Amino acid sequence: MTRKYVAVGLVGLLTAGLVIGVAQGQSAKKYAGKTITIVTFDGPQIGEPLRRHAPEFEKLTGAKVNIVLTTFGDLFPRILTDFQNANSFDAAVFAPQWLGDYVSGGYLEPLDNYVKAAPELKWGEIAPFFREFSATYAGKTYMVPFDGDFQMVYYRRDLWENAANKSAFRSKYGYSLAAPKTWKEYRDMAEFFNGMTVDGKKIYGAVEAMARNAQSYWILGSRAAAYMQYKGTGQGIFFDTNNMNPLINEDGFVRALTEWKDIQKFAPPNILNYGTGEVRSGFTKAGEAALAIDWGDIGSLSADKDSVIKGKLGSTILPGSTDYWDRDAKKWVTAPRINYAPYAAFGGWSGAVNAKSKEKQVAFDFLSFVGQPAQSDADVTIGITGFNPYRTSHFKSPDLYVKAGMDPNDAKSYLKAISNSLKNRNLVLDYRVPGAARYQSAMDVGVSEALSGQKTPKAALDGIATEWNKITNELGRQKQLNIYRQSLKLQSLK
Amino acid sequence: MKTQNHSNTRNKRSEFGFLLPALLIVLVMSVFPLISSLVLSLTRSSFSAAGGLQLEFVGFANYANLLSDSRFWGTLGNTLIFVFVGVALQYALGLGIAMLLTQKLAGQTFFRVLFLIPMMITPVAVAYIMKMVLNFQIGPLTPLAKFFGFADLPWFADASLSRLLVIIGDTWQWTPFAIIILLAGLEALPHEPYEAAMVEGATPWQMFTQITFPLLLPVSSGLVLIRLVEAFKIVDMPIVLTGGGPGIATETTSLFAYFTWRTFDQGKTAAIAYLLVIAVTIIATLYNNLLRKRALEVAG
Repeated sequence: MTRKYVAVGLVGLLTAGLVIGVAQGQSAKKYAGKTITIVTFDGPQIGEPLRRHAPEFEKLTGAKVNIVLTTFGDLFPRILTDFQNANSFDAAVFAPQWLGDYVSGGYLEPLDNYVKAAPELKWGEIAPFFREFSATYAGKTYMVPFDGDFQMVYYRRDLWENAANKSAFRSKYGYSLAAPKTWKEYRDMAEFFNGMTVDGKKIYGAVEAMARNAQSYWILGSRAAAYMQYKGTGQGIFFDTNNMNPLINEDGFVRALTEWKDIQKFAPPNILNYGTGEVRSGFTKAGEAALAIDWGDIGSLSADKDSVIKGKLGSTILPGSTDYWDRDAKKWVTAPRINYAPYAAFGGWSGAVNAKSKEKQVAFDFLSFVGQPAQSDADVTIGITGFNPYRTSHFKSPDLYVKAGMDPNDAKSYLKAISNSLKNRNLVLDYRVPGAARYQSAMDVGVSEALSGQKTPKAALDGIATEWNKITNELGRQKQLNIYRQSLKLQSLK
Repeated sequence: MKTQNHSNTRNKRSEFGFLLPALLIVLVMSVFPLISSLVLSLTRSSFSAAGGLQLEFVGFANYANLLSDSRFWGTLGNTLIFVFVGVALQYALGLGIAMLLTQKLAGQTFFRVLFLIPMMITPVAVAYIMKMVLNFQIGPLTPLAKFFGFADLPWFADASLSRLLVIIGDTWQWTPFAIIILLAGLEALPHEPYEAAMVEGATPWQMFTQITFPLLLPVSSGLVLIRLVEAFKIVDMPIVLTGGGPGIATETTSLFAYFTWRTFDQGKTAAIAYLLVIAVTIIATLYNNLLRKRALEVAG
């Protein structure tokens, strides 16, 4: 009888233990039962890595993550509308350029304390520019960077290394054929290779995004940066930091736009319909050009199975200039050495948390999870993610990229170009003031008018400056000025 | 008598009861947004950390700014070009094809279905199809374009050529609509006038100008009115084909409103929309009073 009681007791204990064990197993997932919603761009870039990491995070924490995707054009107003009314998005992944509007509206949660409490994010490994400029606004951290956005020049290394090309180039232009160091050299090289027969077909000199309603205004920024900024990031290229007058129609921009228009002679006939999509596929899949300007994406796309430039890719920092436009003295000044000013166009996709979210910690943890080296080290090597290197761990060795399918020499050149750009203390910050999208829209029209020949570059840029002044006056000149200065880490003017 | 009055009142009440749901739906779905957007068009939006979105009443400032903005007038001009040239082309082609389809030709049913396909596809998909077809560098028409020498024309740099691309795309999409309506109109025409004309020895051209076209005028004028109003809203084709460029050469007023909305300038967006509504109303009223009524009178 006693044995029977002991046996029943043991079975009872075992059952109870099992029940408690299962319950404990469930509660080990600290966010079980919680749901967060994140909105971003439908790409497929940007949306792809978030959708891929959502179930991984869910498995790890128990939180359900809904990813809502929308077109790039609709992303800015959609986030704003939601944060103003429904607050259905707990976090959003967008351009740091829009921080001006979002922070002004009080829609974003400052993340300084969250970041401090998340050592696994390895915040200190994020390149200083993205950590200190892109991710912050008015002295507070609002974003978790996923992407190191700045533009670079890509060239066909195989053509540059060809002995016959080298000799022909030197005899025509009087200097050696190497990665272009200045915009003048870039132009010469585009001219030299334009019309050359490569692998049985004629290629063009260069492909760049010149289409309206695409990315043309960023390319103009890249081309003007070295002419306009020579004192470091705090100088800025878009507005006068004393009075918020536009600098867009200063001679540096006029020269950049004039030179850019000239490049059309060495580009496909329908170049005015090229956005980055056409540039990337034209350069990597069709092999139609010797040179291209793009963000870091061409590097990882060169490893795709349909790429025709694998093993032939050269990458270099945006060309510089031997002179720059002194905006105060209103004259061109010879630089002591080549002035480089890589442009962090767009600023890199980053995540921010809705200040009114009921699940702020969960939302931050998801953003942190995506940004942690364990995920980002792989993401930056995959073309479809749209994420480009931005952490020190991404530059340590080309092995990551070679493992992802990139040619070792391509990877070496690519990482060197990124590293040179990021180390440069003259990196140009995109404008991050309220109404950034309005300034950009005016720039889009003006640039297109100049590129299509409807207006001269000077007239088109004057038109943009007029529009920018209207926007600045409408939004409050002093307020805009202080915010612009803050974004450049300058003191506010009273 | 009293009973009859009572019954009339009850009937009226029940009629009103039946109408009420529809009335409410119209109020909520149509009238409320109209009033709300009108109010919005009189405001300017800004953001403050304390209260989020702030709407400041600015009276008619948005309208005044737009009326002095060359971009607004440019987009209105583009819209009028697309409306009048596009609709005229669609009508002419639609009438021609509809007349062909009334002939007893082999494969008539097949062609009737074939011609309708563009209209059945989502507009934005049509725009992407046209983007591929009209890419004369790598598109399916490239050999033809190279043979006739128009492949290297500055299709995206020249304002007129870019507009032509948009008109071609829009015409491809909407000609089937004209075909359907005109085909139905042609098939409903009486036979007697044609029999009499044949007895009198009229030529086919005389029959077309003296009988077919006048008799078809009521249908034609209705069709043109519908397309006129619809064409004012063109967005898909220019945004996909040209992005509104070069400059603002293919930017329509609706597209201008959309671009402005994307920058979250809500007051200005609403004002553009209202100015467009006013322009459409004026043109539709003029068309209805000056042309359509006259056409109906001619048709008897």
